[in-house]
Amino acid sequence: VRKLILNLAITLDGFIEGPNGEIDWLVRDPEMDFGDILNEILSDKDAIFYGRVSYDKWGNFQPDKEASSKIKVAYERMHSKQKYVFSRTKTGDDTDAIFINSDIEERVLGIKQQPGKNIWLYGGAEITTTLLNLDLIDEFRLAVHPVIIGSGKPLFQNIEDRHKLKLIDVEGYKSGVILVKYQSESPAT
Amino acid sequence: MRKLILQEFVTLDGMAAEIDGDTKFIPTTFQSDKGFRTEQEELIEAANTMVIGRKTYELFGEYWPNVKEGEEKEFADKLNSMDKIVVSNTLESAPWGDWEPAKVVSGRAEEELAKLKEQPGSDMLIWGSISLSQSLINAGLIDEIRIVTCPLVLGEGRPFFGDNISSLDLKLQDAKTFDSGAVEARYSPQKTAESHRSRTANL
Repeated sequence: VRKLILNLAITLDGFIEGPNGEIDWLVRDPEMDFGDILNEILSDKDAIFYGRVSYDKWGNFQPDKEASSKIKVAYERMHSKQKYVFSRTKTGDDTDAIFINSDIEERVLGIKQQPGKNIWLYGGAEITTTLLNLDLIDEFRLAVHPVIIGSGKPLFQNIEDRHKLKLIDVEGYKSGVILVKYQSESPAT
Repeated sequence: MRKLILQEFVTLDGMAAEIDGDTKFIPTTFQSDKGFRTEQEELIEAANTMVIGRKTYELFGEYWPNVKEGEEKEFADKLNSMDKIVVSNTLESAPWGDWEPAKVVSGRAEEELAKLKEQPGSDMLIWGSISLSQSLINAGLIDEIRIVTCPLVLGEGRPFFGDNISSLDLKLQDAKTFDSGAVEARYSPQKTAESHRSRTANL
């Protein structure tokens, strides 16, 4: 079965964005640029789940002309994946993205049963909450950036139940980012 | 100058305690997780002065001096024998069971801790004490932040980092994992990062 994996960068105080959508707190890594990070994330995935807001903002993002070829290639690779967009109202756009409006649990379980690589849960917070509450997220890979921002959009909000996790791996980078990987344990009792 | 070290236990969703104040998710030092116990004992040895707020005092002062037997006793003895400081404007005294009572410090926490840092003594360690920790972080008085992330998402509880905290850049010193699945990341605060609040996304 394909795994649904949340890959996301967060601040130490648990925000995925500042109060106005800022992501300027993302720490640059001297050893690894964003192209490397994207390639790493994409290496075991062939589909991407977006919330509608995140999709509108980043789903078809094109890097600057001045961006490195590595970043351009990584985005090309990203845009070649099958995208799924969760939206209450929007049913499609002019891309191949598949829009899911209802029966989320059934649809996600169906997609997981299809043959293929793992699925990247891109975010944002609302679809993450929904999928976590439905116990559909198999793995969390969080890049914890060495910064406290005090306010913004939290990754975890409106979570209904407690979820026990199993730590799989921790890796620290020169940039001060820690990549922590957790597996979902069976629904907490 | 004495260092002020903050060690905080949080869940992956940033809760320092459950809604009712329970902290059972924190790994225990005396059971399965030997590595964690060693780590804690070394920390207490290096920073032998405990600084806590009134609410944490009410929990700790009730619990730890009453551990008089069992597997936890050895660790409890080490903790109880630390120098203890309670920051409170309401308490007049802070007894600690049969142990040396904690010293009560009143006044503005920031000023008092700044003074204490200048005085001779061992490094100081803050546990729990959410609001005290926030004011000390904001005042730039914390020299080291140790966040121990426990492997669960609580959903509801008492968040450690609240709206009252100012933005801050950190430098990662190291990260350790323990058998319980807890991860301790050790950071030193850098300059305050005022700009993170105001700048807009720029990719």
